[in-house]
Amino acid sequence: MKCKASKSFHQLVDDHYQGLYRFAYSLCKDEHTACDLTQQTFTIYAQKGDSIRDPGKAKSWLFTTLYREFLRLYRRNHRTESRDPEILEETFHLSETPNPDTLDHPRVLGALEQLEEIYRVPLTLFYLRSLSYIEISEVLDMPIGTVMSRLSRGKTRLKRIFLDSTEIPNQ
Amino acid sequence: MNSEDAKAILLAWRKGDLPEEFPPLREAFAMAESDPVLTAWLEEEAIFDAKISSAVESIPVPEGLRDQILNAAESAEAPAHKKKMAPLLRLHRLLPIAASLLVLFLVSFLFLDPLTVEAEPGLNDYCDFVIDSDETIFGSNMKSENFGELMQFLQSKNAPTPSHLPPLIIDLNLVGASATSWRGIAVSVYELEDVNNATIQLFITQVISFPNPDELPTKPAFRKIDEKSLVIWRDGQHLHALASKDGGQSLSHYIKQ
Repeated sequence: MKCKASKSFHQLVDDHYQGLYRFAYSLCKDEHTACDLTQQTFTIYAQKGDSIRDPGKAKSWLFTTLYREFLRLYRRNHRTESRDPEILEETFHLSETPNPDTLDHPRVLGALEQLEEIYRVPLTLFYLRSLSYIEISEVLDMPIGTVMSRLSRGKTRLKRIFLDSTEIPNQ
Repeated sequence: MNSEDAKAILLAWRKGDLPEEFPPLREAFAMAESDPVLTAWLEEEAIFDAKISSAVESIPVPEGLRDQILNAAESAEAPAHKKKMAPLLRLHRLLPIAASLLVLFLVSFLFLDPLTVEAEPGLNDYCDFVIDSDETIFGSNMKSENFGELMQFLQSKNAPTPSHLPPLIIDLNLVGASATSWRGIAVSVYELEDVNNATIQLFITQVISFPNPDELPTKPAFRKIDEKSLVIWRDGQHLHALASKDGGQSLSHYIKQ
């Protein structure tokens, strides 16, 4: 298969590798893992891309594949690693409660991390602005109405996190 | 639609994006355009969204990642000299395998009693299992309200764990989860409670376990077994079944019969 050497494969990489990397990073919070996930996603595309029924959906396919690879990795790691409750607790406390006026990506990711996964993933895709609503619903394999409802509830919770972080110092 | 309804919907609005597939958003947006208070609120929301988007989009992408991706894809390519063999040339390699299978089939036909071969697992059998399990699984192996924790618990038992629970039951409260098996196939059981404290169990197994997965219902459908009801449907690669301790009466609050 020569698709990866072709201009279209290069174009696909150019168009989406940054968005995919940022999505991967927001999921795993680790540069090396995010690089591996992004690279793995394109490698799978290079091997199986010819069998995608609708080439117009390559972008959704890439995000879906990356998300599945992440879930697979997450499951594998959580099967093999012994989870020390104290370490887990420490990790949770490490995520700072951010102030919305001084936003940078670690603070925003810290706030997103405090959300449940069902809200965090659609909201991250929403804020990345790489995918349309329909594409988000395809990646998450859920109806668009559910996506909208998760976005609405997730954003309410996210705003509450910011609000709480600004109220805490005044207490 | 009142102003609060519109706000709840517009929270999901992204500036410059009005999907045709979700008419309520268009309706709420039209309402906001004619209401100055809503317009001002929406502007503030858009500023908040822009700040978050800009922060997420500022995640630095490592230099060299693009080349790394292209190199990895290049090396994943099959060697050029491995050309496909013509079908006729491939055929002679398959002949010994075909002959072995034929002998195996004849031997099994002659020496095995067909009556001892277990029937193929079917949907009715699975429904019986769900109804019976509903009586036998008392309490959860793990009590928790956290979906992530329960998912990890089920993963540790090698039970099927979709990344999210079906939207149909999103308003029910999680109580716990158990892992069980049907004909040696792993089944996850999520225990839930509704607002009336009725216990509802969601059984999840792989559709691949069934002989005709394509014939499984794709929309929630009621099934009656021995005066008890359950709801069953296929969602992607998983078969979902809902059962309740009261024989299915509580389920009608969530699904129309």
